[in-house]
Amino acid sequence: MRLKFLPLLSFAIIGFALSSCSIKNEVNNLDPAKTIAESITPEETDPTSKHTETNIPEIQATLNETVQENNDETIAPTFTAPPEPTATVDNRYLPEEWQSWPIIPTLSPAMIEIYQLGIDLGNNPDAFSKVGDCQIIPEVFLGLYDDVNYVLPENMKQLQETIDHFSGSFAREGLALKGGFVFPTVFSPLRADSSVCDPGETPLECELRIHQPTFVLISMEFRYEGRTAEIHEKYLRQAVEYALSRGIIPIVATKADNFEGDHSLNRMTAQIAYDYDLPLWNYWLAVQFLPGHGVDWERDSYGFHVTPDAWLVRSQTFLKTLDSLWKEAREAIEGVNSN
Amino acid sequence: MNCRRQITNRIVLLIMILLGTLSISSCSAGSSPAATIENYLLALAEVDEISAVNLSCADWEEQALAESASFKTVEVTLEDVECQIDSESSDLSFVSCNGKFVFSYDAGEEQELVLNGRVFKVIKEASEWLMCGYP
Repeated sequence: MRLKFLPLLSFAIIGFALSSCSIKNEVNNLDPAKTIAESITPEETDPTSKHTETNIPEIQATLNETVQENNDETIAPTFTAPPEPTATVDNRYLPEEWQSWPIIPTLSPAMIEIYQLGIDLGNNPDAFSKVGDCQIIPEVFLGLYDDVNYVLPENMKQLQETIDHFSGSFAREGLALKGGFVFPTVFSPLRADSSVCDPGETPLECELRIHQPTFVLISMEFRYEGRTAEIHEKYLRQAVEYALSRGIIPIVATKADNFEGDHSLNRMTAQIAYDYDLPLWNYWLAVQFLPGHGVDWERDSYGFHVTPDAWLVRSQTFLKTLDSLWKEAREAIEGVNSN
Repeated sequence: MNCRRQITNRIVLLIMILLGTLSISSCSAGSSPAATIENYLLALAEVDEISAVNLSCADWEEQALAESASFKTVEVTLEDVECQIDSESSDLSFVSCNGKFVFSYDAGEEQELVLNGRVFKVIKEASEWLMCGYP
């Protein structure tokens, strides 16, 4: 009789034992941002702000022109608050309208300051870095531009100067880019290349320290269990803030796939671009004219990989992005120096 | 009959206690700094975020999550891992290991992460040795 409750007691002991295995903190409650860029703080999103023009790019197969502006003025509201003399109208695209953002971005004044900061810090104006996964390894993305035998199509000859300028960065894999990488990987010191990285350095920190670029493309698309828009935001903000703190302009990108089902990752990327006034390369828009919107459904059923045509569009539109941003920065800096 | 039942109950009790002890030992920090790091690396290889965090000091918990999550997209095996203490004081120790992680990515492409040469910082927190980063 006395032992009748022993099995029950035993289960209680095991239950108690297992409860000690529970995680110390809720995963999502941990604060990731340890490095805060002091030079740039995200602008608060003003829900009342509205751009006064739409800019819907018209895609051409030849990619001759990637953006064609359509200056449709919005109807003025019937009631407006008295204007403040010092206020600046924020006519930027709103994050929720990310699908209409131009494919090729422009540089904000804040990013021109970051560029100047980077030059002052000793960054290499001839270098850019890539942080990402198998979607941007040199074999499928940009690598061809470092091939001396490669000849640009006639309608892209004007980009040769940019290819020459950033020569060496296109085919460079770098230390924060590899097939199978996801955002957590570039924040994991264990995954850094110990032959060149300092002890405790993450792949991201190592890449930016060693290559010292003025621009860094951050494009992490590979899905993994537990990836949500919130987790994506956590890591992307952390990466952006680290780059900004080093005087490096982060170029963020939308992705072609919609694995999450509601485009929430692209939406979040646009939000971050908006908050920090970053250049957003709208790759999603660039491939909309392609069959299957550039997604290779024959290769995998979840629609992650893109088609060979989409690879080409990817390289070409990023090259145009780099060309545009670098020339803007150069002109701005030269303008300052000549005054 | 009663005696037989008592024996059965005692056996059940013993099994439960044994299982309970095993449960506790499997998720607690290592008894030595080297064991802590071996368990930490094993937790990473098994993408066991909970154990990785439980084996980490408070300051390393966030990084432990990232390190564990970074293995989610690859098949991982941990080969020939053996850790030893390089230096140790009452509440701080440095540990180095031999062995390697082997990743299989995208059903074919293999990558290796060799552990030789990497040093782990281990500290004692609340009487437990816990992984606390890289010096």
